[in-house]
Parts: sequence; structure tokens; C-alpha cells
Amino acid sequence: MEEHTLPYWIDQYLLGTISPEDRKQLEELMAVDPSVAELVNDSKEAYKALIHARHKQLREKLRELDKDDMKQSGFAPKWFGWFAFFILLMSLYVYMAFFYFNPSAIASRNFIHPDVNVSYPTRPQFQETLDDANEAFLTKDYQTAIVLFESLTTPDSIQNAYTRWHILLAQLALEGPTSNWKVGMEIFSREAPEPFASRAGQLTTLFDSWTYKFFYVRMRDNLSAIKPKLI
Amino acid sequence: MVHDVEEKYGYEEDNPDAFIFSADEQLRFETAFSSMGQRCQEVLLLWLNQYSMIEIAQKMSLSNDAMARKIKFECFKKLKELVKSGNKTQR
Repeated sequence: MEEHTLPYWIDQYLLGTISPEDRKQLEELMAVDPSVAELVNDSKEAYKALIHARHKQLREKLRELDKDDMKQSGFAPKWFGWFAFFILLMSLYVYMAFFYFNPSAIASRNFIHPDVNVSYPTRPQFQETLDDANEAFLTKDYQTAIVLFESLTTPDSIQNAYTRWHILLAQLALEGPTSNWKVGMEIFSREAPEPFASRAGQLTTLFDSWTYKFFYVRMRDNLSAIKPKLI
Repeated sequence: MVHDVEEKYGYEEDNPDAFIFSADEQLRFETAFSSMGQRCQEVLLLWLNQYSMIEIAQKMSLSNDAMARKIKFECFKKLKELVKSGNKTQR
């Protein structure tokens, strides 16, 4: 019978579908004929290679199924979480930097408390006006603060520097670092006593820095461009 | 009533340890198998999955089961040679 040839037996043997009688005959043949034994062994090795290929194929199919499942369930890969976190962190940083470099915030941060640096004249009315000016400044009523500070002219150079400093800060908060303001601040930094001179120097340097230009000027321009679209 | 299809296993497949391959073996088998053409790979995998020669002929659009048997025989012979030559190279 054509089917009961050696290759047929080997095929059935490898697939595990050989009948017990045929298996017995094949094993007897292998025992007496080394060339048959070698042929069967070579076939076993090739069969193993096939099994390995099938395992690999199954693994790939399972991976594809996993991917499909992930897509269907809307599960985002791990890196996406980190990416989103990074973007969020960067946005937060830029947002905070934007407010850090806001002229109004800069003015508030540079307010100098009168208890520490200023010796007041003894006039009670002067003291009252100074308190009102400071309060107006701290409550961000910069227009009033400017008017009140301007009324506080005294022969005392430190007191004058104090009022001038806060007038400049209030102008900064209202209009930003305009060219006139920068000129005024430069003159002030040359003429004023410490600590006003060094503070004024720091402020003028800040407004020329790339961080201010990048985080505030650029962002402000971009935001003002987006705003009408959003509205 | 639906019955589960009875699974048939190959000559040693009922013993899983026989198919835990070493890294060397995996590389050798993979090289041998990937050296064959796409058609040969397909025929042999169908045969391994116990498809009949008639089914293989239908799936592969071959003229008849004899042609499928012939192609399977030639492809398996080629695979044996490739695995054997891989063995020799390794030694």
C-alpha cells in the first residue's frame, strides 16, 4: 500500500497519529537499520524546528490580540502616562513662571516693609500718610499709592529713596517695564542709598534677562493672541 | 450538545519538557525555518496543525491533495537539511 511507506510512518509518528502496530514496526526497523534511525532522528529535529516556529507564531498572535484588547479598552501605554505627566509639569512650570515674572507680582515681592529699613520723621501726620500709602500699595491700589508716596517728600535721603522706590514699583505694576520706567529706575539705582540701589540694579537686570522675555513677554503675547479666539 | 474537539499531540508533545528549547536550539531552529520560503513555511505549519492534505490543498489553492503531499514532502526534506546543516555549523 502506497500510504504505508517509511515517510508516511515517520509523518504519523511525528504527529502522534501512528497506530501501535505501525509504531512497533517502525521502531523495529530503526533498531536494525541505522539509516532509518538517522532519518527518523533528522525528522524529529526538523519537527522540533516546526514546533518552535508554531510557538513563535502563537506568541505573535497572542501579542496582536493583547494589542487589540488594549486598543478596544482604551488603555493607554505606560509611557503615555509619563508623557502626560511631563507635559502637565512643564505647563505648570510655565504657568508659574508667567505669574512669577508678572510686573505686578514683581512689584509686590519687592515691597520693603517700613519697620526694617526706614527711619520715620516724628510728625504723626507723616506717619499716617506713610501707613496709608503702604496699605494702598499692599492692597494693589497702585494709583492711590503713587499719589500718597509722592506727597511724602522729606529732607531725609533714605525716606525719599523709600518713597521713590515704591512709586517706581507701583508704576511698574500699572504699566510694566516701559522705557521711561527703565530710565527712571537706572537713575534711581545710581543715586539711591543701599539697599535700594542694589535692588534697583537687580530689577533692571531682570527685565533684560532672557527668562523674563521668554516666560513673560512671549507668553503674554501668545496668550493675548489666543484670547480673542477663545472668546 | 457540543463536544470539545479531542486534541492530538505529536510524538513527544505530551511531554512538555521535550519542547523547552535551549537558546542555541531556538536560534538554530529559527534560522532554519526562516531560511525557507513563505509557501513552505505555510504548508509545514498547516501539516503540523494536523490539517489533512485535502485541506492544505484547498487552503493553498493547489490542484489536489497529491500536490500538497509532494510540496509538504519537499519542504520537510529541505527543513531537515537546513536543521542538519545548522547542527554541523554549530559543531
